[in-house]
Amino acid sequence: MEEDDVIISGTHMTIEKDKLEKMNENNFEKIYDNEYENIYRSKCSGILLKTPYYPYKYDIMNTSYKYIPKVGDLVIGIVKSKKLDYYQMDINCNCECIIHKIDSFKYATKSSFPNLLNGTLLYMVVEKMNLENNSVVTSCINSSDVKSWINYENYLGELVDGFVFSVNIASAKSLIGDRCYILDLIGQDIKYEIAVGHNGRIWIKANDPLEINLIHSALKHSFGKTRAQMNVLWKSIYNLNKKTT
Amino acid sequence: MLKYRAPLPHFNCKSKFDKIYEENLNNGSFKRINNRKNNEIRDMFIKLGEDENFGSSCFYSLGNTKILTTVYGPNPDSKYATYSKGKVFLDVKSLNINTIGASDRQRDDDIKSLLIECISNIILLEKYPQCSIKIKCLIIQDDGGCLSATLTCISLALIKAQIQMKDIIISININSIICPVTKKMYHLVDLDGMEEKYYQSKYEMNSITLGICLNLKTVCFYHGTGSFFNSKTLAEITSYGECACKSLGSEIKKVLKQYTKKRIDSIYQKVNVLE
Repeated sequence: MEEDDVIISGTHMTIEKDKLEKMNENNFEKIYDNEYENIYRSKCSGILLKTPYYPYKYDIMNTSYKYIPKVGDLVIGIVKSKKLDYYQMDINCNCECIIHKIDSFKYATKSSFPNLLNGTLLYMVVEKMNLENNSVVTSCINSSDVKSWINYENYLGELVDGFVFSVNIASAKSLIGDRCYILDLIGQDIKYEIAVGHNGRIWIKANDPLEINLIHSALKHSFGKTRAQMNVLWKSIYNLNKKTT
Repeated sequence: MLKYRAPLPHFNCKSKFDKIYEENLNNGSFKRINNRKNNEIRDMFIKLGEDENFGSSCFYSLGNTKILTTVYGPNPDSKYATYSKGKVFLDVKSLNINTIGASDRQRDDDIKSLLIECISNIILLEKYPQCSIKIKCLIIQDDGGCLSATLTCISLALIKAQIQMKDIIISININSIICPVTKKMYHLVDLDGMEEKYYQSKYEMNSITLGICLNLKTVCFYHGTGSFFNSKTLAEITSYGECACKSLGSEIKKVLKQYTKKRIDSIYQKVNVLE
């Protein structure tokens, strides 16, 4: 029983109830013991740090590529197979992920619902989780969207064209965060569109494939850098591109 | 020409090992042939790695015993895994050339089934229904203590892969030796290959591989060979091995925490301080 910032997977910790509300409870599992109360076992290794986005809870940060799903996360999924009422998705974890054809898209009916092929990208929100049979239900409905699914103008939905690559989970969280300077630096020079998933997948779309490659290089190498380092990194990448063309 | 002939050793010259052996017999104490204390392990090296496509891996070396373990998964597997629990597959390969033959191969299969049973009970398999976890071990060099090093290496690779486990397994090899003159028992930790061969020819020797869950404080792996097991000696050997495992486990956990802190502090604290 120890309390420390550095956590190793499988460690038994004593966490009080008020501390637990500030943490991401998804990374811990309660152990029922006769002698002690409030004993939790950690599911992953890392350092307890505050997430850089709302609601600013403490989460275990590490450089792993495995995603542990949480309700409310925005994820990028790939359509694996088509069933009768739903699609099976791949969201980079060991859970089965499904999305309903009619219930999970805005203004979808029995006669008009999205007909997705295998390999289509979707930007979704995790709605429900069932821990017993290890399944996750996602949705593409956002409360602030007013358009139908047909127009491709909603916040969530199908990602058309563009380029997808994987980063580790901590890097994705830092890109989602409030003070993400590399996205502003890129936006000063290139017009682009980006979707960052909590599961470590990033989708980029720009006018030119060369610009997509520049953004991909910048995002790959800007993890863990300071603001000044990001500035120098982006200028060198962009100027290198201008010299070659 | 006769002047330049190399001098031959004296006719009653004794080798270094024989000198240590006679010294042990006369003094009544015990001294190892490689100048280590009785409770001292060899140099340990751990390297953990991970890739986004190929799973997690761990390289573990203890002196000249070197083991590499890779963990793939958990991956959905509808063929082997059942609906309620996952399944663990273990593959152990050795690069050494076995000179013993068939009996050694059968013993390896028995030990492999022991390892699979131990790891299947440590991993929380009900958290991964319809999934399979594949573990591949490569024994690069075997210089004694191979079974305990394999078990520790598998446990560290599973930690790196973030597979939900009950606890960390720490394993160690204990050899017990009876002095033929005074009939006193000595416990030696972590013999290497040369020591194993030498002590087997000179003394009566018991060998025990003990694996312990670090937080739960339970024994999860127990394998032994030898000739003078009884209840008194077993209790003594087990308690000695338990203390050795706890010391090794706390050291490994401390090193893992320092490694994690150094790795992630360099990413986040720099940003926090400067912004």
